[in-house]
Amino acid sequence: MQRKKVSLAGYFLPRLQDLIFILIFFFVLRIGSNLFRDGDPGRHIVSGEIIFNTLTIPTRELFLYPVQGQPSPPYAWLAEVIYVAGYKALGLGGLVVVAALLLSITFTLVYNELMRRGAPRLLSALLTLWAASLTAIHWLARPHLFSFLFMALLVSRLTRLAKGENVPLWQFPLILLLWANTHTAFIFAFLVWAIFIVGNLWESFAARLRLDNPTLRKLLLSAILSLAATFINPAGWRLWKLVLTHLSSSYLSNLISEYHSPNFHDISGLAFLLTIVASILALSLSNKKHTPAETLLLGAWTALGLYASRDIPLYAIVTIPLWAGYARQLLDVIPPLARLERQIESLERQLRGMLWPVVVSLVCIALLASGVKLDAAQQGYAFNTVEYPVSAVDWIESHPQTGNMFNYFPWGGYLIYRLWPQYEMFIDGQFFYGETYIRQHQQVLTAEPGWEAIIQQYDIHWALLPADSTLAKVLTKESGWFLLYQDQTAVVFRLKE
Amino acid sequence: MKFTIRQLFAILLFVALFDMALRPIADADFWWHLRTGQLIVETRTIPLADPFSFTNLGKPWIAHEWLVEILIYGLFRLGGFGLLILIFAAFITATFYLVYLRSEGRPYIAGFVLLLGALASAPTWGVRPQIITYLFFASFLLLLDRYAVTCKAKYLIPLPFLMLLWVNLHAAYALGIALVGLYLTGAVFEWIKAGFGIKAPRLREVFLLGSILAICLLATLANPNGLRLLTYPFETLSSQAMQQNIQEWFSPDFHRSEWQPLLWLILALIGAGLLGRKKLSPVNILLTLAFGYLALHSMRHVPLFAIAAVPALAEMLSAILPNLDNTRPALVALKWVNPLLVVVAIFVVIVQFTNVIQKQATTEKEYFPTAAVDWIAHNHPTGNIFNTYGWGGYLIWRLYPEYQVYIDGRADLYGDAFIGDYLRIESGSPGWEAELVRDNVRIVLLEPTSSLVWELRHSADWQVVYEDARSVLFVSK
Repeated sequence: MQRKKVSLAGYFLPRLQDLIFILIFFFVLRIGSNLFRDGDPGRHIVSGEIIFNTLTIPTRELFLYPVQGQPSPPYAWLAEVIYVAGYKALGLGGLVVVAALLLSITFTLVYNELMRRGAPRLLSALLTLWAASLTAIHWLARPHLFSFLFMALLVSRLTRLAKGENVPLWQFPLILLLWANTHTAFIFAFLVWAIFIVGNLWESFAARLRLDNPTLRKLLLSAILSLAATFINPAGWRLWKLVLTHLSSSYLSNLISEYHSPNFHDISGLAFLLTIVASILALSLSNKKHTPAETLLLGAWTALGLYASRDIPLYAIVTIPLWAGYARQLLDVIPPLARLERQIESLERQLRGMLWPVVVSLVCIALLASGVKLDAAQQGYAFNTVEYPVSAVDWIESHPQTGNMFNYFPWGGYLIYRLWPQYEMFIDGQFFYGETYIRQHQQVLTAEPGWEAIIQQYDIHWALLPADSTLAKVLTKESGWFLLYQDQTAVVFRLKE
Repeated sequence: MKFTIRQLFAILLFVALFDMALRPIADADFWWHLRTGQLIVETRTIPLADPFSFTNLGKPWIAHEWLVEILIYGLFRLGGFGLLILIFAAFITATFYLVYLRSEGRPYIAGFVLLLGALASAPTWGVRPQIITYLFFASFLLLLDRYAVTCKAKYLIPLPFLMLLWVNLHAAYALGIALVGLYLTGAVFEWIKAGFGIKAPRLREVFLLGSILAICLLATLANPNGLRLLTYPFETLSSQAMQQNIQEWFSPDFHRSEWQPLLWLILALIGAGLLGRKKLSPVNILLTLAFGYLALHSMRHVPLFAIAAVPALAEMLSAILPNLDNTRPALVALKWVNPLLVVVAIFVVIVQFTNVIQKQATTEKEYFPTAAVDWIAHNHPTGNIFNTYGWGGYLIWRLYPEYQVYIDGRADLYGDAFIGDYLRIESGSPGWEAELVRDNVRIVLLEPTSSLVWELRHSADWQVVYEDARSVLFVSK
């Protein structure tokens, strides 16, 4: 097919998808400090720096003294390297830029997928922004943002493959190879495959066709190749063991807040609830025929989202493109929308875009590199001083402590970032070392009977705790401990020798 | 006695539901309902001000459940906990029978969907005034549905009478008004579609439903609190302290197995909606969505969702699945087996009921500080009691009028500011001592895990006089 000639202006004017990219990219830069409301980025920065500096991927625990030297599968080493590349160039701002790029690309893909499925451009843009707002609950400078991107890539390709379109099969193992080396949520890819395979069998069965068909063979082959690709990682089969053990722990899923069911009293939960309600409403009113795979995708991801709020972003990325059919139907109902769509379509046919996202990204990076603060508060990117013991760690740096430390687990990643290798921590937010160890941390933190024995077991000499924790209250009145430092966020206690 | 398989299925279904609904009384609010019922019967007046707490004594109190409280006390006097458990299990079963009557695909599809709906709402069951609201909600829906299908006015006539009762039984009477309003909106919509004129065919329905709505609204005024009760339900819904601190107002936690059936009900609705060929009526869609939204927002609304959604799901599934229409009489071989099965099922219910009655005392000990309250009743320490929120009702039943409580389950009476103060004291925040002294609190009864327990143990002014795995009782030295 002959490519239509595009005028020079066509390269300089942005398309809707470019505007979405720019909007999300710039929005993430404005709220960048919010990406550090979790301590884990700290651990990932230090891990990434070790890989960068030593050109080796550590496979044993380095940061936590109670489990020092134990096998620690580097489940996110590639993501850490990419984040640290940004960090080395721009400090915490580099992490924000990487996160902003990942999110912008992900939602550009979601927009394109909506368009590909026939949704009008304007509604595609609105639905994409809605999907982005649903995922904002979990916008953190952590490796899981790669899962957003890979899920968007995978679902669009599998949808096409399931429809019998020609998709190069090598793309699937490549996606899974990268995914398995960046984040543990790669395991959800196989749920999506299972759904498409069951959907294919269901359709064949319902139409009384042969179950064995070329599409099914491609789906199975791509799944097998991709499964094999997930074993190509520094931990090999142990990565699967790690992920499955982690997912099957009910204790952990009850302990970690992001694994909890969504709280629909919060604004983030409310957005998810409205989406579920709107889904059912759209399904009830639409004349569109639904494939079994679409039904299963929506059902499975709704269940996962209701089970754990951390699955809501993947729910949005997987299910929002399913709305394309209903959005298309609106063109018949609202003629002005159809006219507008035709106008935008005819305009965009003359545009090539790409320039604006590239220029905006490069300009923002250059501004950050030159010291311009792009966050809304104009304070620069930093860990929050109310949620993290920033001042307490400053004090520790100027008043070095000896002996083992006890710390609050959500702060572990931040403490690794600030204090390692001078200090090793008791625990961080990774939770890969068994329930007993985590239960011991909880027992000490809440001063449950027997906490003193655990202090002795790990030879703990000092503790960095939240100011309002039960243990802080207990240690205030315990004659064997004295208070070294105190602020609104944290307290430091030391055992009397 | 001959049963068809269909009849047998329906009988066994409802016997099973009744069996499921039999459970010991563990609701923290039951006890102050019981005491209020006793107070009303003995004084022959409905309290308009708080008699039970020393912190809010005399403050205007809307005893919106006064009639059900009389019923609870009356049943308790007649047959103790056993009769209460039986009657409330019967209310629950009756509620789901009304839902069953609204459902297509009877008995099999409707039966299985009903079971799913019942399982989804089962965590909220018990001897509680809300159970009456579920029964009235199901009654209103059935009558309005019947009217929508037949256009016969006889289905609307009972509604004002039911409303007269409902408004005196529970503040969720507002749901009844909302349902009539919803059906009226549907009728107005149809009337507009049909030509919007005096002679348009749906005008009669609009007039009838509008009149019934007006009469129902008038009926709501027949309550001891008059107009005040009209705004009361909305005040409760907007209370932040209730929404954030009272468990039944929380969103369902799907990690807990008890809420898994709700998840399956939602998924079944989505699946049936996507794959089904049947389009629901706008009223059914609105009911399912509105109550689905409420159910995910607060677990106490899950039964309303189940009542609204079960017929919708049964309707959609009936269009997908073949209905096993077995109207033939039972086979000769089953002539004796079927009645025998029913007898066995009834026997199982009797055994279950006996077990529940036997468990009542254990349940009371498991959920409430029975032994610590025994200690207070025996030793009569002086001063006011500071107590855990969830135990206030139990203390009202066991210790009133000798002692009044600091707080109890009537969160609407106490208000957000007071509940906030209570939570600060209970968490041992600085200043708790002064607050207790100000209120002349000399007795503190708390759960061992409370932060205040730790503070009191380390205070020179307080001593533990009783302690067990359930509670710790402190008395001021």
